[in-house]
Amino acid sequence: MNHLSDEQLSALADGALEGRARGEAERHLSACAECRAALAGLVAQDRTLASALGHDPGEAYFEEFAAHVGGRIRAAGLQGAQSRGTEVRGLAEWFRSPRKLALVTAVATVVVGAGIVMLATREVRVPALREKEIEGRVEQSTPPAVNEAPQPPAVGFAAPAPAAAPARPPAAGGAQPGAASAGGGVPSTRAVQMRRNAAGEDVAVRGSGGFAFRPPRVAARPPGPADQPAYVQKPQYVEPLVAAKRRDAATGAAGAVPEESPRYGGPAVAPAKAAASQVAADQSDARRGIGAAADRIAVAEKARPAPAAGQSLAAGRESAAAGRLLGPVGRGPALQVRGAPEAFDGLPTQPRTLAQNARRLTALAVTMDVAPAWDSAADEWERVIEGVQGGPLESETRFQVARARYQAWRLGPDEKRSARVTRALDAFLAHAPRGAERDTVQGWRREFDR
Amino acid sequence: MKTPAERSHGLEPGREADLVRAAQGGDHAAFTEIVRHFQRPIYRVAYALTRNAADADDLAQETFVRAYQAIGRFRVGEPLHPWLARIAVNLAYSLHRRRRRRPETSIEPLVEAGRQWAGDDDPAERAAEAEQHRRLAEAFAGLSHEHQAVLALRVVEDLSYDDIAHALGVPTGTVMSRLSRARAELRARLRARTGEGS
Repeated sequence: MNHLSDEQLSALADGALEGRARGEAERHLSACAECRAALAGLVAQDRTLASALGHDPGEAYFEEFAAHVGGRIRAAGLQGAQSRGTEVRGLAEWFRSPRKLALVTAVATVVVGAGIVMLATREVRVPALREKEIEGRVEQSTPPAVNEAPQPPAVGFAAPAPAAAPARPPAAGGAQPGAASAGGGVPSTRAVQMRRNAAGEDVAVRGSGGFAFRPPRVAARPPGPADQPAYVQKPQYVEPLVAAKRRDAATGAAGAVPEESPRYGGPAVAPAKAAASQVAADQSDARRGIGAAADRIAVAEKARPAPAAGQSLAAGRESAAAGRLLGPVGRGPALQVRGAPEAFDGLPTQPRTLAQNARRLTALAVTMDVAPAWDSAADEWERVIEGVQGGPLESETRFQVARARYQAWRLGPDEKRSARVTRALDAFLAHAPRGAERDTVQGWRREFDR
Repeated sequence: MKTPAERSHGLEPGREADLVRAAQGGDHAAFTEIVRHFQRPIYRVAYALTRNAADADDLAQETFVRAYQAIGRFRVGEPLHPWLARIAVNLAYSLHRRRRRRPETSIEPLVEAGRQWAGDDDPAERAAEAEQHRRLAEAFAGLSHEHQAVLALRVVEDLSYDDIAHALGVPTGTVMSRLSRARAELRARLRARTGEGS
């Protein structure tokens, strides 16, 4: 026989069983002395408990009870729940509860923590307004396309263009203001007069007559069939602003920038009859210059829409501000270089985000041209390495690190930066393939060793 | 055990709703009438959960103060008794939490025992009964707060399962199972104290 459960006995003692359940329980009880005894024990226990827990303070106590409650209400200054004041007080009471206070504290901690994490991601964004402005300048200084021939989809390092390549044609008539300067070196009304300072503000640096707009270098298409891909050499370096300033001061001809002044090594940009001393000065500065490829990455990222292959895309934010052009910059296949933005865009989310940040920091460092900014860029590029290790972008990333470390050391040499630049240069050279970037870094290494 | 009728506080449902409406409108006399009608049951719950007259007095008064603060949000037509009991139970929980952090020694059991021993009945019988109450009260005090509350509302206050569910904010089925477990736990603790076998 199945005896009644504790729950059935409990409900039966309380008279809470109804209908069929009650009928079955009562039938069982009539036949089961054990369950009857259990039920009786339960009822007796309840009765004893009620007596043990009962207490009568006396009639006098209850006579005064309501008055005591009224006194407490008055003492507390309560106006009754119908007033709004108690709602506010209720809220205060809510917060007085330790458990609820802990809950609020936990929520606040999570919110603050999330904020800190967001800040820690170091997503450095240049204000959109400034980006638009720079983009506008880049477009203004973009000369018309020289060669509209289709280009191969991907080319690595291209063969150098012949030195005798045809010169860049004059700018098309009716170009937008500023762009016209690309043709004949007409002083720009904007770029030549403005420079962005460390705070990111545009300030006039020279009088309109004292600083000539430097026309962009244009990659010339080598002679050959029009339907064949054109290859031009990747520029080796770009002249740093500091070096240019120093050179201008030395020549005493501020603003008298010679036409087609060489900015890049390599036969493609060698001027036919440029002053030999000018070339030598530029070459000397170039050894301390910035790697052009990385500059173009940062600059070209801002250029929308992407220029046609072979088209020179002048100026990054730094050179646009100073009225200096970095030379041929391309997103097109002819000027495809390792580490172009598209390549990093194919990475998983984390390294891609890091690479985007690193590029922005690099662009910022180029603009500010101070050692701490380059330190930040180098730190960010070093974070990228982990995500590209063993991949095709590792070499490019290490190049960026080496370049940023070198720039930081160059602008603010100290023991720490010396150690860092040594590590960065050696790390790149240890695995870098032969090519222009390796040559550049070796040049930096020699410069550092000196 | 007393029946619900015997425990009745004597307020008719319509009258109860009128008093609530009047109290919500700021009628102090109406609220005083509510206090008078419910002071005994609330005191009983308070005493069952504190087993201390001073604490029960404080808790019962505080229950009505809180009710005064919150009566504006009370839905007219709902039974007042479970609502007040719920306030009392929550206050008792808070009191227990404070006591757990800062235990206090109560002399109430001794006072209660002395009062019972001072009766005119057979001293031996009174002593045995007092001893039984003491053991039961101690076993009850060892229960969880949830089990104490459900037993107090059912055994001492004789509330229905639905009212207990309303007062504790749990489903009626939970009240049934919780009561069963509370009684079984109390019986087990009592047996452990008296040395009886299971």
